[in-house]
Amino acid sequence: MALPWLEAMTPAFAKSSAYLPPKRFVSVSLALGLHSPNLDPIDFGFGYTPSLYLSKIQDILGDMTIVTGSSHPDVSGGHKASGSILTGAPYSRSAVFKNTISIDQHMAKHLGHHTRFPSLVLNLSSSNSPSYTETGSMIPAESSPSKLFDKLFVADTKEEQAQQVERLKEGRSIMDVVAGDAKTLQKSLGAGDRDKMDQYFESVRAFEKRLGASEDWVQMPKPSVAMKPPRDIPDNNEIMKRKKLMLDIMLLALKTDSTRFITLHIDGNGESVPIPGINEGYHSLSHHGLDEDKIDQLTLLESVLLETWGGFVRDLKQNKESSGTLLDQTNVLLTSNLGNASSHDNKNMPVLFAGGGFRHGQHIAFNKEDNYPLPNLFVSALQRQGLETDRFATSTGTMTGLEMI
Amino acid sequence: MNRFTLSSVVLALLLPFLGKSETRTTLPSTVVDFLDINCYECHNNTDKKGSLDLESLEFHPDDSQSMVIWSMVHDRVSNREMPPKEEYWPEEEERGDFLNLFENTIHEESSKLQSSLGRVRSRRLNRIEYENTLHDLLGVDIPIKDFLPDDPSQDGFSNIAVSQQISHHLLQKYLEAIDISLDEAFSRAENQSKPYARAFSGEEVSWNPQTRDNGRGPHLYEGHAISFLTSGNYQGRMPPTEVDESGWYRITVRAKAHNPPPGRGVWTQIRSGVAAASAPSLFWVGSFEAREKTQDFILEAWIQAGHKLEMRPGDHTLGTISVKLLDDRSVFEKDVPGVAMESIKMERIYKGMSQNELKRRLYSDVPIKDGVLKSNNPKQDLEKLMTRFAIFAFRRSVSKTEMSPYMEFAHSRLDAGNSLKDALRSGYRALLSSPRFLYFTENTGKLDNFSIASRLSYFLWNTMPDEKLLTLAKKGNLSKPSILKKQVERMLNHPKAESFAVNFSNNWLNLKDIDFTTPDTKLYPEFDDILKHSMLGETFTFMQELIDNDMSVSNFIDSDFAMLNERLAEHYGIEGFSGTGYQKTALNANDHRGGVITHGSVLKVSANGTTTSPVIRGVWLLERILGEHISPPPDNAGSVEPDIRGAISIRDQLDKHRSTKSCMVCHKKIDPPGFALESFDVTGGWRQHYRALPKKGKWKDGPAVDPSYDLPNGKSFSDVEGFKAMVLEHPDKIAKNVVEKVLTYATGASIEFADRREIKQIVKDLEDHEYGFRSLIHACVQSDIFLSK
Repeated sequence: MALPWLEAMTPAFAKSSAYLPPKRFVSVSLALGLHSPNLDPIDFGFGYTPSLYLSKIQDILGDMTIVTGSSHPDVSGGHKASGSILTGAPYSRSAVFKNTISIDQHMAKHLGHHTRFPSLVLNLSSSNSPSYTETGSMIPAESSPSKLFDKLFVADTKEEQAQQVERLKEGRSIMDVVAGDAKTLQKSLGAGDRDKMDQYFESVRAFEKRLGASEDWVQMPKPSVAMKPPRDIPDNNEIMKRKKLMLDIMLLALKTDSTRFITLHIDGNGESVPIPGINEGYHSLSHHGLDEDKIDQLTLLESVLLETWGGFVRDLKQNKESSGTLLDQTNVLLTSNLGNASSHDNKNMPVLFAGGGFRHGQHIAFNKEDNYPLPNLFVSALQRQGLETDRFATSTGTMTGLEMI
Repeated sequence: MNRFTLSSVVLALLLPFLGKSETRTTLPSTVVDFLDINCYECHNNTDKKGSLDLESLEFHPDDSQSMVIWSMVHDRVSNREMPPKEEYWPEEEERGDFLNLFENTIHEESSKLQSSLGRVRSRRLNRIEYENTLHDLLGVDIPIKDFLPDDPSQDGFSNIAVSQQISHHLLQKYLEAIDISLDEAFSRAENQSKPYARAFSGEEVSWNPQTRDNGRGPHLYEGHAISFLTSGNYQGRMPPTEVDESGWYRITVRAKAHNPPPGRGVWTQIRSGVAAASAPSLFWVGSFEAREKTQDFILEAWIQAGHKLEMRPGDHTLGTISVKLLDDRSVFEKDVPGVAMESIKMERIYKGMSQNELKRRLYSDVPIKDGVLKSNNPKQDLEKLMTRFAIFAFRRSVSKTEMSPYMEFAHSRLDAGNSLKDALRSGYRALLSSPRFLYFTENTGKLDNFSIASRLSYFLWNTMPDEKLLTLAKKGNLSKPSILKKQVERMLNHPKAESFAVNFSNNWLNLKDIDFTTPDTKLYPEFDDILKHSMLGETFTFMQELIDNDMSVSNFIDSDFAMLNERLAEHYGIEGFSGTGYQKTALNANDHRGGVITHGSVLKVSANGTTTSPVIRGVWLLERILGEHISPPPDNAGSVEPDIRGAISIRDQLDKHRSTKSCMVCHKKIDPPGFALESFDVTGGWRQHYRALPKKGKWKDGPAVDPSYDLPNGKSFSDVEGFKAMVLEHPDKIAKNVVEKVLTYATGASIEFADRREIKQIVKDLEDHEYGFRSLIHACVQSDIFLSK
């Protein structure tokens, strides 16, 4: 098992020049889109005039690119298309939908074995996520910051560790029994069940491996961090506070190399965010029906969303790592399956892409009537990770205009 | 011109699937000729009209996508939608011959595949089924589905095998659920649960003017704790009701109405939560209607540790009062409705097995004392108990061979020095991790008795088969039609059958998404949680009524009665309602109700929180109630941006459909039901004007609603009643859809081409029973579709 890459978290470890700093990828996805008149800059290219939302994060515009006029080809269905955000799998309401692997899981599959957690899949309030395995199974998100923090940083007592090892060992034995029985069962069931039983068998084997890796990691000391274990924020309306808290933990997870691939999904339900001026639920505001008052309130809400995301990018920038910053090694995406929540349009998805490896500071404007394939951005992002890919989902190449440096 | 070449590659791929019969991958030449003459002119590989290239389309019976398209081709010709009338129209005889041969071919191929592979492949327990099964297996009552992610949905149903995926992440979640359940079961089996019962007077839960504690609590007045409907958070909270342990509690409230409005009671809601500024979110416990006479109201709910209860009026039609009136207590001089509580009692209850039942389930007759199993022969007892538990867990008899890997594992735990109890627990853990627990292990062809038992119990009860079903299955009697009929009757009469009315409605009518949107508080201030829960209750009890009395499924379109409670009667504007709870209420023509399509629940889930869309509702009704499949809009359709500023009505915006031929193809089906339902707003309220929001102040009437429609075939209707009458002319079509939906739900697979003939026969036979819903359920259970894989 590869040793985790350790930066100087505690004085006991010296900076190791034998290791190159690893690359990371973070995606923040919104279920309800962003109001494009507030987001899309009017002009394009380098040195564009920041739009209302972008002017709130002026200092990091040089580290990011905004893309307009792009979306996933053959994806429609409004809200229901959220499964395709990170997979780019064609989706329409009526067809039988089989999802494919999401970009973060693709990265985790090839590069995730270096860290305690191959990836983290997070949400602020539910278990919905845009992260899918290669068999098209949605990975349930963790929504409790306290549980997450516990998993990442809280050392278990010797007894707890022993108990965990016991349970994990037994779990592995059980999975071994189950895997064998799955093969037996498959024989007796018949041809129609063959594929599903194969998938099941593969899942059991993968689970066994995970239990084994977890067993190895149980005895490895968890990184120590300055942050105190947080309490979960019980008020569902506090989306912004929850987002900030989750992003803070995510930052630590990246710094300590506990994981390198994180997705955070933000649902949009009836939460009435306690920001002065807002008195309607988030979902209701996003479906403004062109009502000016709702749009005003939505603007307030989304501005804070942007600021918090920008704050995360800024934090990455301010964290030194090796000869650069953490941002140099991390790509951060902000997007949504909805280009317009009020009309449930999946075209013209909002796309902000920040972090090392690319020449930023641009507004890349594609055609709003005839969208550019967003999976191309994913190919660029995969290549940045060092993966030799030239295809992802319905891509046609890397993203035009986004230069890799 | 044979376009479909038999590729040897395709054949090689198909060979593993071939039983004795070969699946054809070519269509008969006469079929191809017909397509060539009548279809290829537009649907060729260059023009691809309507995005359909029939010329290149291959016939792959084993590819469900391919079959969906071929079925559609068949249906278009059968319904005379294609070829379009303006073009060459084939002779009747020619058309008839084509359809016969075409239908026969697709049916044959579809049947062959079903025989060899099955309609339902590797269905597993979904979230609700998983929770219920662990509840019935281990006698626990904890909310297990909270550990599991949502189920994927297909055709509106959340139990469809082909849409279910598996991953190691999901296995992790299952293991967590299993461990929590085993912990709870083993703990309860040996520990005496401390009984918890607390009772409080009105004074004890009220705001204390001396200490100024509990500022948001009810006010003490004439010996009662009185709470009012205000805009303030968690008003009416009662700190003494806070519980230390998560669990089920029975709450008995002794209360009456305070200043009830004339002729009505005061609808009161109870919720639980931390109820503090840091955590104002509250969870629904229940509601009741407080009346002039003091009464006991009993509710049961799961309450989390550290949560307390909040109780107050919840009927928004009564209007909210300002918090100031409470602060200075001047509210008591006003004629404001409230709920006056005399006392409240809370008792911890256990919904699962009793301790003795639990001991029996886990240990059979092996005695347990001070946490230790007293066994004379641990190895033998281990074998006995594991085998016994496996029958319940795997829902069938198990052979020694099938048990051996699990037995070996359990023995290894015993050999490692663990106690019998611990070895047993590990053994049970292994059995519950087995695919034989998680999946429906259904044999190909005619289902064996145990498979029938499982399918039947998950259909009508959403849980594992009970001992009676398992015993009948073991004897091999369950496949006998008369026994099957008796069992269905027994099961429908059992309290567990409530689960069918609820889950079938939640799936079929998508009521599980009732919370997906919240009505805009400015546009619909009268909407409240009590109304929402009442709406759901209306549909569930209506469904139950149709089942209990074998009433015609035409009642889904229109009925002369509705299952209402007072809150609903108020909302729907129906006069003369009396009684408590849900009452079967006779309807008049000007009540504008009747059927399930006018239920508030249905009207809410087919709209968002602000606006209705005739297209969304139209598609919803067509697909769910009339059983018609509608293709998604073409890419260039453009989305309609809803405009609630009141300037332009939705009819104006959608008028484009009427003038564009390619739009009309689908929209002549979609728009009629959609517009008919425009008479109902997003809360299911009847309206003759759309509501609009001015810059400031209350909503006002906007443009008038026009629910009329002129169909291209010359028919027309002026309102929803006219639309319903049109639909009711074809009760067989209504019944066919219900049969399809019930079979989809009952088996865990969508309807395929090969199912059509039997469904047609079922519908024909149901005519003799006036398409009664109960008879329909029986007919579905007796069908080959239900009794085969």
